Amino acid sequence: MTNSFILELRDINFSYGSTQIIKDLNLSLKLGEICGWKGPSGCGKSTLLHLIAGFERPDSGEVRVFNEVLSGSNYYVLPEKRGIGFLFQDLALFPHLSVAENIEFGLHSMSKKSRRVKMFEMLELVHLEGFASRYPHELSGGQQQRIALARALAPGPKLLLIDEPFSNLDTVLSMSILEDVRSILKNTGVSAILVSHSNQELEAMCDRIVDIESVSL
Amino acid sequence: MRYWRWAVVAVLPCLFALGIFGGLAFSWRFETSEIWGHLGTFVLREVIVNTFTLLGTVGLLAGFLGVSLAWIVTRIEFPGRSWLEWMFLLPLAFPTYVYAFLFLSLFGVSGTWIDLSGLGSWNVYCCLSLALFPYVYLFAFNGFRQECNTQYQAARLLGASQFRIFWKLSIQGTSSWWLGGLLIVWMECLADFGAVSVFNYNTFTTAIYKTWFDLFSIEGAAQLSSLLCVAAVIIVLFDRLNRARKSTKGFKSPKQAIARFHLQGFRAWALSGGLLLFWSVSFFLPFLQLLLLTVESWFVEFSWLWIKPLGTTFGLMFVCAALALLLSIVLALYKYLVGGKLVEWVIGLSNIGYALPGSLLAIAVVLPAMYVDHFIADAQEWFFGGVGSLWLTGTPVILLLGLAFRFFASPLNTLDSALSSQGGSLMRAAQSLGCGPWRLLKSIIIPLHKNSIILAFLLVSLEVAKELPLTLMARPMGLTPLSVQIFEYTSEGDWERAAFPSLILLLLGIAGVALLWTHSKGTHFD
Repeated sequence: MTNSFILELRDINFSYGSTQIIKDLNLSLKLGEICGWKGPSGCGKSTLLHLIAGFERPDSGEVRVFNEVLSGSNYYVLPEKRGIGFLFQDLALFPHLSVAENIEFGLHSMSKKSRRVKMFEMLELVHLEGFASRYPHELSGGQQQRIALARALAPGPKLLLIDEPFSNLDTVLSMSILEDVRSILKNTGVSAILVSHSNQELEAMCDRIVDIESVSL
Repeated sequence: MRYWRWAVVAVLPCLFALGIFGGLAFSWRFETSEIWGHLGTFVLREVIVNTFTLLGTVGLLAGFLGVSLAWIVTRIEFPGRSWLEWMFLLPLAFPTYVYAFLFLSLFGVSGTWIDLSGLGSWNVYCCLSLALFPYVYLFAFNGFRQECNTQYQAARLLGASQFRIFWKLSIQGTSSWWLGGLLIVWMECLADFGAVSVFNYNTFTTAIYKTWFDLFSIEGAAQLSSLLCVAAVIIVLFDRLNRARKSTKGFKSPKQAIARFHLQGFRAWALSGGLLLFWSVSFFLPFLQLLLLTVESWFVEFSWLWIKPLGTTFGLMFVCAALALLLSIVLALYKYLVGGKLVEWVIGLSNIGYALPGSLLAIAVVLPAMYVDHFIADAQEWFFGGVGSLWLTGTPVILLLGLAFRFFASPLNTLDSALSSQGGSLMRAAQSLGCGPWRLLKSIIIPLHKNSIILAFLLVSLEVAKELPLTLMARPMGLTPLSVQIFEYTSEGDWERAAFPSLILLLLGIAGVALLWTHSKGTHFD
């Protein structure tokens, strides 16, 4: 039955210096599922996302995606080889690159022509056709969110990690974007984890909500 | 191992550092009792007393000058303030050995201005304090500008007197800043060779030079250097502690800067006049003297002898800066990619070069190179017969490595902070999109941090141009950059001939100060 899971975290332990942040954590995510993680600041939500993406290594335990070990006791796949999408809290759009170049950034193995095609496809998906030549600073907050989403989804990840990227928007705008994101994820069949403080956001977007504090320490 | 190819390069400077310490420790295995008999009787006591008196006195004088001038220009408004703000940095443009001979030609026995030779050692202390106080000034200036008005308002509401506010908030609150500058002053004093030689003031660096080149004992010089090394390492430890303290305080740009006190009428002009007078003594007078000497030499005996050294200086600047930059990029990127305590330790040990005196580094690079050469030559003779040749000694390779190692700390710090702050999430975003280290470098780091990289390159190359003891002692025969040419002329008292090459270095130095000033203004008011 393990194959119906896209992500499995097994007995994960992680500490910064002498402070243990995560202890014996077990979690899984079903294929196509959008799962919300809630919990107070410092409970290890963002750290967990970094462990899954490979920016941090667990002290012990395993991270598996599609039943393949990405981080294990003496095995580790580099972040750039994992094929996991990440939507950052500060969006991390490259300020020196145009919208088109930002979206095409993760597509460098494709030919130039198919990169273009894919890029326009992504712009259409996030309803921002005609913005290709703009730069990040010329976009509104909501538009930046959509471009960051388009960039993260362009390489076709099966799993997207979302680290509170809507916290800087006003509630009305963030709710409308959340609904869009949810429908985009469902249409493309991408599984996702959303980390957020806001119950409203989590309920609007997720199939299931997990309280990380109760499972991590 | 993750990114092992990068690890191989990243570990090189650390091995270099270990080689230095190992080489110095190893030098104690040589029999040098005859040399030590001489050093112990005639040299050591004087050298130790002199070195520590120099550190203490210059530290006090430069610290006082730097902190008080910085406080005045950040807290008081008076005519000409915005000019004096950056003009106080200008003495930094002089290499200390140039500053020293100009000082002597102004105030020495045959000085053109007044004869202060009766003051004895105070001439060295004053000269180095005037040349080096801008380090404290710059750091304190940036520290005072971080202070926030609301803190002042709070302190006043709590009934603190003006003096208490000054002492508790301004001086103690910014201590990690001005202490950073003071530590640089100490490093410079400990490393100084040219200026103290001009004054015939014997310190560790001159003793090392004399043991090596007058007593012909490089092993004895290495043993002396290891004593100097202990002092340097203590200063480094203080510096690291101070930086840690500074970063934990979490300074942010002030939301509301403190308004300057407007001085009116006569008092304002008196302050301007006094500060201008001080500036004239610290920069304008030596500058004028240098111009006069240059003109004199031009008319007395015009020569093109500086052309070749100028080329050599530019060559050294370019190659060393490129090497230092390359190393720092690899190390900063490796630290970002892999991280962890071990990497931090390795990097901490690698970038210790900035604090090691040039004369110490010279010995530390020449000594092992000599042994490697002899080893290879012996092996060559044993295998092929004939006379073995020397591979490293006599080439500029060891000098280049030494210079790059000495100066790569500052570009490393620049890049490191660039990658760990806002750059961090951009880099992670790029990685999550499948971007490996080379592409990170090409598409994110270089385009985003182009300006800091260029700035770092220029600053390192200007440092290389000024460096004297390392270049003097580790250079191969016949390689004479401007700094060495100046030293050779000044040690013969030929100030006129030293003038023109010094003017070239001064102009380069002014360019460096301008870069430093615009950069430090930019970073703190972003």
